Amino acid sequence: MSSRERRRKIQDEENLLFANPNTLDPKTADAIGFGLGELGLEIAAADNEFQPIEAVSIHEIHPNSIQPRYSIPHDLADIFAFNPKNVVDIFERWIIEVQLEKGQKDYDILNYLLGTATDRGERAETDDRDTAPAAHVASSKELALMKLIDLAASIRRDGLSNPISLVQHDSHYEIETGERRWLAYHILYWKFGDGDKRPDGSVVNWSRIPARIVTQVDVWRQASENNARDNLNAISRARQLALLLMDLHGWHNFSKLDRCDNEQAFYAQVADGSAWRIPRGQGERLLNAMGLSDAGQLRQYRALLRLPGELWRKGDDEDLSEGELRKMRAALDSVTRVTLPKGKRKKDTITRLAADATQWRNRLRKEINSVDVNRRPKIRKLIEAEIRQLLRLMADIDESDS
Amino acid sequence: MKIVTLLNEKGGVGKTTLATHLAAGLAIRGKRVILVDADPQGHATIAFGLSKEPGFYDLIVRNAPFQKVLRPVAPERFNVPDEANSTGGQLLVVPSNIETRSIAGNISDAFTVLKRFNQLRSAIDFVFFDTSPTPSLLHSSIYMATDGIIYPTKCEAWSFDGLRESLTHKDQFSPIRQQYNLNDIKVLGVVPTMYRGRTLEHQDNLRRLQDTFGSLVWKPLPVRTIWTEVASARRTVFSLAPGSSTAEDAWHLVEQLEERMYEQS
Repeated sequence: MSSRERRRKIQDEENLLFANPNTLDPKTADAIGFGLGELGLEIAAADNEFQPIEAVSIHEIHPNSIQPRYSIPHDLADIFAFNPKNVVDIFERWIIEVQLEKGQKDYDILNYLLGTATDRGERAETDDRDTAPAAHVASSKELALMKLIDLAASIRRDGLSNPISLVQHDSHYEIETGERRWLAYHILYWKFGDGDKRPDGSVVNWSRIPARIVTQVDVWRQASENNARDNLNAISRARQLALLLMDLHGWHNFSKLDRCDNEQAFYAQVADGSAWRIPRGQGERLLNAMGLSDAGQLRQYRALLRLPGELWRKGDDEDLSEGELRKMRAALDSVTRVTLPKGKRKKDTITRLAADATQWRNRLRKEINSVDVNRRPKIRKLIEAEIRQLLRLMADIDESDS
Repeated sequence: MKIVTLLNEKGGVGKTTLATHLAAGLAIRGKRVILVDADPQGHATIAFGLSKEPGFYDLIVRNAPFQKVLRPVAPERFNVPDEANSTGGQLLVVPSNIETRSIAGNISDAFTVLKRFNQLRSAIDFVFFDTSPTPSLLHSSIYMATDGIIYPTKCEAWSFDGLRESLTHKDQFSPIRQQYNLNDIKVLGVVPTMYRGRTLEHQDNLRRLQDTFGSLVWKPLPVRTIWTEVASARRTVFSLAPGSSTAEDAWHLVEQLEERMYEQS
């Protein structure tokens, strides 16, 4: 290219002393398009996978009604409709109940959030068993509250490392994962408000929480998140399994939560393993999502869906293990079984055994209802004794039948 | 995907010219290349006659999709006029504007830049970052993302000062990168630019560079008017003066880079 030709090309360009290359009118932008063929498609695919993080107002976020884990105890969830307007009311009531349990009027969560001196910290600092104050045994309600307060304190101290995920609706957002983190932000906003200066000197607005916006609630993603965090109790895992099974069989086959008598009834729709088998080829996926190693464990969690209502709530509030719940249920079932009429047997024996069994059952129910955390080992022993006794009673029945 | 950054904490040493020509040269040779204009001046953007908006800030802070930010460069702007020489690569630019200087204040994660460009790891062969001379937190994020750095420098004292400062800052990131199991940043080359071989000052300074950096010093690029002409024409020298000795010099740069990258891998 000659020098003259080069000069002509230069003259064809706009003079940058006058042209403003800052803006591109939409028409030109459209005309440029993205005519990159295959590369354009690959870039579009990369864009689709990207989930930007946004700061969303905690007051515009609603919990997901079928989230497997209940972060709030059932009795409080029953009193308050669980939505962003009354989260603080729930915490106030929760704290009052813990105060009553502890007999400690000045129970103030602020010290825990600030990481300053607390009775818990003082006990940890005392090595000498003889002089250490008697250990306070926390109730399940207090433990659940403290877990949330500890989470809030760690977020204030170290920041939120994992944004929550939300689905955007017309007027609000719905939580896909991160209900406890959202509640922790509520606690922090309640106690510190916006413009809080964190220990590292940075300033945070607790009214807004970092979140990824997803198109819809994905129960498999929920399961993966919960599984990674390993923080579901047995009842929550049973709920998780139920949601995954519903997803596999199609949501149209099941009634919605608000059409069910209670939340357990919603999940129990897939309790029948013969009616709602694990679809062929999905077993491994289900085990992976649940973080379980064999099909037997899946059956055990599915069986929890049929627990008596009171045991279901107790197991959830008190984080009872699947094994504990199975034993309690077995004890109740055995009692119920031996009290059922078994056809024509020797009348006296049956009547006596049934009376015994009823007595055992009532006693067991009473004990289970009054169970609290510090009496759990005792209750376990009691249940084991009950089971042994019931087996003896059943053996008696067999003997009397023969 | 390889990420290459053009750095020197001294302005006017030829970072943008080198970035545009290295990116264009590899695209002509069939690579899929992105040139990220990370300098608020946005000169790598207007080097191809592109709009400065939306830009790098939109990509990093506003999380704009790549489709909205990447601007394809028309082949006649960067490619040699004889299309037979083209092997079908593509050149895309992430534009820059005044907002780019605010990126540093709006990102808290040093891996933000790396994470965003990692999304394109399988789609793109090379990403070039054309940086501003003034160091900022954005540079930190680029240090965490880049595989190699090319340091253009004039054979003059102040450019050497900028070069030394840049190398010091690069070294400061080595332990941080190690902590995250990232390879050390490779110094791909030190490129003497705007070289006036007849002056004793430039001769002496080139010798100093070679004594210090040895084989890392690439062949000097002589000062030529045609480099300013390509800026006025919003083209590359490959497109505007394909048969010129300057185009030959530019091809030599591309070959040097390919060779060093090959050594690296």
